[in-house]
Amino acid sequence: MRESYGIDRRRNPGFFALSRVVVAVTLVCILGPILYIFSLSIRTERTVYQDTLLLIPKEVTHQNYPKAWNLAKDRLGVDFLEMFRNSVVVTVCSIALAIAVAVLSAFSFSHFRFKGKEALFSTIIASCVVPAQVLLIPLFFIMVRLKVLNTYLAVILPYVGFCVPIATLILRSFFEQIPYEIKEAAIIDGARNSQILLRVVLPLSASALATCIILLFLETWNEFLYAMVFLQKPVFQTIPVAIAKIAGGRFQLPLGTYGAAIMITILPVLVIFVVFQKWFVAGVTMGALKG
Amino acid sequence: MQSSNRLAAGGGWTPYAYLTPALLVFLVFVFTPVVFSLTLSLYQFTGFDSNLFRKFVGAGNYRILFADKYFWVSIRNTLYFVAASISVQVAIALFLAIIIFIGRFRFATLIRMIIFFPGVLAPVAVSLAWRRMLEQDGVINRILGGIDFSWLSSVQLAIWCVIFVSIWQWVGYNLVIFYAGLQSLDIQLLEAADVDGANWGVKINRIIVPLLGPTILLNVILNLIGSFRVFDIVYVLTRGGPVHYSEVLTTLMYYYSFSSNGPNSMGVGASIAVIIFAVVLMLGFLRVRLIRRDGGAS
Amino acid sequence: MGKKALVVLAAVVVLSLLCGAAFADDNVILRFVDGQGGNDGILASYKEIIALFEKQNPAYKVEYQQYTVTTLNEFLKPALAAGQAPDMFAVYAGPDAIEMVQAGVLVDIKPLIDNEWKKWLGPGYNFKGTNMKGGIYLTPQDALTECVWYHKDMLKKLGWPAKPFTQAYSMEEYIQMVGKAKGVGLNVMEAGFLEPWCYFNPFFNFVHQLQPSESPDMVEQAMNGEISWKQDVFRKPLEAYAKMNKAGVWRPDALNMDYQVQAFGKWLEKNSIFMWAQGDWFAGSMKKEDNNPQNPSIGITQYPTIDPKSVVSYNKNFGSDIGLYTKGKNQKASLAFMRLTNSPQAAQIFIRHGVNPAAGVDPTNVPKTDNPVFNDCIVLYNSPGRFSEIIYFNPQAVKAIGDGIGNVVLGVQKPDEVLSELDKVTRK
Repeated sequence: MRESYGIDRRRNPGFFALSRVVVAVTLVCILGPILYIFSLSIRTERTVYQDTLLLIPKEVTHQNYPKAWNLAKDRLGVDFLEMFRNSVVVTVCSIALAIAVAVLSAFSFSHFRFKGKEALFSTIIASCVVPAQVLLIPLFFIMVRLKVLNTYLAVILPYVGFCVPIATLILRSFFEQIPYEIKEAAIIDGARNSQILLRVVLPLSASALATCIILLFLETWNEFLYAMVFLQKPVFQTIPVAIAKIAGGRFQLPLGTYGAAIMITILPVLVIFVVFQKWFVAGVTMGALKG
Repeated sequence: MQSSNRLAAGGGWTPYAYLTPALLVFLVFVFTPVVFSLTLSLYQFTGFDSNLFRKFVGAGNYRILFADKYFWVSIRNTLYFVAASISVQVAIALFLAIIIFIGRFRFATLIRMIIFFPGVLAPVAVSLAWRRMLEQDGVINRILGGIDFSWLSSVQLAIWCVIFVSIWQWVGYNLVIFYAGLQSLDIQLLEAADVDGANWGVKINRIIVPLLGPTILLNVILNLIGSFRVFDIVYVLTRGGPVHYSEVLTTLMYYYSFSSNGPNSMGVGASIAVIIFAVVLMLGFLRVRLIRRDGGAS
Repeated sequence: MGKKALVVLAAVVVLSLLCGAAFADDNVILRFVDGQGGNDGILASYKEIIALFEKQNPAYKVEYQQYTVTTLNEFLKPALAAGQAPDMFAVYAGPDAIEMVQAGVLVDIKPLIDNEWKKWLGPGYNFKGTNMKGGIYLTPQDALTECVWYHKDMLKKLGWPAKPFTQAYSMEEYIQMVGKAKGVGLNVMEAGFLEPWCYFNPFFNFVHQLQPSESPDMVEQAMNGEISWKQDVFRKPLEAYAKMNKAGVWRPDALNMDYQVQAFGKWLEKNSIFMWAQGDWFAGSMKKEDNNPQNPSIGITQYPTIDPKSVVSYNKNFGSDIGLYTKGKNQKASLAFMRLTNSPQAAQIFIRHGVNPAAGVDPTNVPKTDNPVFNDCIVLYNSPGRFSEIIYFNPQAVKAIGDGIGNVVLGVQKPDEVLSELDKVTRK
């Protein structure tokens, strides 16, 4: 267990205070807009545009939440639970597959020297920059040919396709920071490549993997375009698609209900965060070197 | 020095074997569509016709694009985006990460989660909040002393507002990576510096930041990729407006390809994608060149 | 640990594959898609119309999905390109529609429209947006009457006389209102120009006001390169925009606001007297206390007249037009559904849900509801008067007009520069 290392309050009071101020200001800037949405969600319809200091409502009500809940069912033919299930299935499968594949390829890039390595890597990364909309029609054709349209795979596969390069980039960067001496020790002991990966590299990469999972979560959870176009049956709709359909239309939606709908979609994410807190805290030192 | 960059000698087929699943997925679901799209840039098509290759126009789409003054506006805006996100965003994230790391905060994890949270919000939600805040009689103007200025209708400033909101949303992303990097630092180096009587300035500038070199580079690359791809934030905040003065390459591409008020020309959209691809590919090869020149073996 | 992870992974993959297994269907399913996402009136109406259809045709079920204004094409384009589109889908009249006709994805239903259906459609039968290349490829669903909305009580507070809704205030009047309104602490107009059609539709209206007669359509002529854009009939509308913007009829923010949430929201809060450029789906969104038979306080008026010689003209347009997919497998049944949507029974359903039907209404016997302003809209749609077309098929020219107006309002370009650019587009 590493004890925390940092500023000593007594020796550096100025620095200490500065750090508090900086973080406080940052939190206010970050939270402000989010609290605004929450404030919207508890306002009555009549007073939805009236507030003090943007955040404090004139009148409060909890009615927006049941309204938003039923809205999804009425307008979209799917309720929030189903939407949530769809998002979770898609995200979990994509992340799991992508990380599994990325670990292998990151290992390859970070451990070996081989012909065409950088060229290949650059091409892979460059392909990820191409905007998703442009790939929409070609991917649609591919999904039709593979006969996976309107199944979860239609969305999982492109997500994996995109996430693998990103994850490879991140993991490669962390893998490359593992000192060769550790791997050398294993090689001398007669370890095969797969054992180096599983016994040496992976255990040291817990925080890198956790980081990867978190970032891939960001990439896939809110993805909207492919989810909407490849999953056409209402029963498959994911959360971002539903939000876009509820909120992005040409027509007025009661702002309070809108806010409530967004809060409903945020709350499960908060829960996931709390549950996976341990991953955030994981940190492994290079203790192996000294030990 | 940190790790030595020695690599195992190419073990014949082994490196490629490990790459196979990635290459497979990549080839089918990324590379093929990309090549498909790049070819389509040579054709004029609207997307309504199932015969995509009906009308070959060669460089015609590119000619249209280069003649469009808003294309150049979008290039300029995309460059602003890229510049800001690989410098300002990374710097802010680094600064915050270091402060949180050494600041002995009891709720460090919670704080990081909060800063990270905007990245999880759907773009529609982000735009809802920020559009209201940036209105002429909105909160931002009130805080600035009651000025009566329309931020998002400003020809010069709209794009900077978008960049600001984008940094607001994604700085947590970089922060998480930096924090992971900080957690894998060797504390003993810092403790040794303490013994030598170094102050925080020295410790941060001479030890922590240089050790985070690879992590900084990683964030720069990720932000580079992300800023070329940025779409949602721009689209929901300004739609590329006013008129087209806050367009970036991706929103312009969307306008050409999908917008029913637009030219309905997906071929031109594809040509924008070709340009983006070519630029990033060039940057990638440039980076490799630079590293080789430094004598590193990365 | 590795083995366990692999097992979990495999289970997850298998599960996701199984989840993809098709949900088996017994009846024949007709797929119907439009871009009216957010319009609850339409949603409720179609639910009833579909129930009616399914009762009349028990072998069929209709699956209806609403996309939104922006996402409809994101969905349709890949579907059409891959030959997988729904049986019936909404099409944006104008460049989109003509492209689809040329690509051969829409069925020409002109020979399939019987006399009864034709009677239901009334003037909608000859609507420019649905008649293309000598055939009829779309059938309209709901009528949009674009006009300017206002709070009657606020107008009274300003001390300005009211006018019948078939008339308009002039541009000068709005400009005069600005000063007077400030004196009583009011704003004149809310406007949301985020979407370019919010200002090029009124532009067409201004041109049509100035035309010597309703036809020929001078915008159409200019788009075809037959006449030059550099004339007063096009110049004055651009100047009108610049004038009104400069005078502060609407605020600078308008260029960034979307009208359906921000601008409309502010107007509902009585931030301004008037509200610019809307369709009558608004009628169902008014606050009850402002819009009921005892207190009909919401009024409509036509787009401003920009010249003393202007003839008041109103934009007739449809919210949604639906077409029949040539590759659809159930065209006969789909056509029957489309026909039903234009029938008097459907019209009654639409009206009950606050939607102004495009067909099936007898102009001599216009029904009344207890939504006063909605009644006004229905009457307006079925009234005589000069008609303004807003559907045009030249995407480059429409784009240039939209950008041009925006630039004129921003002060970045002068009207004559815009007109020269337009000439370059249409008269190469």
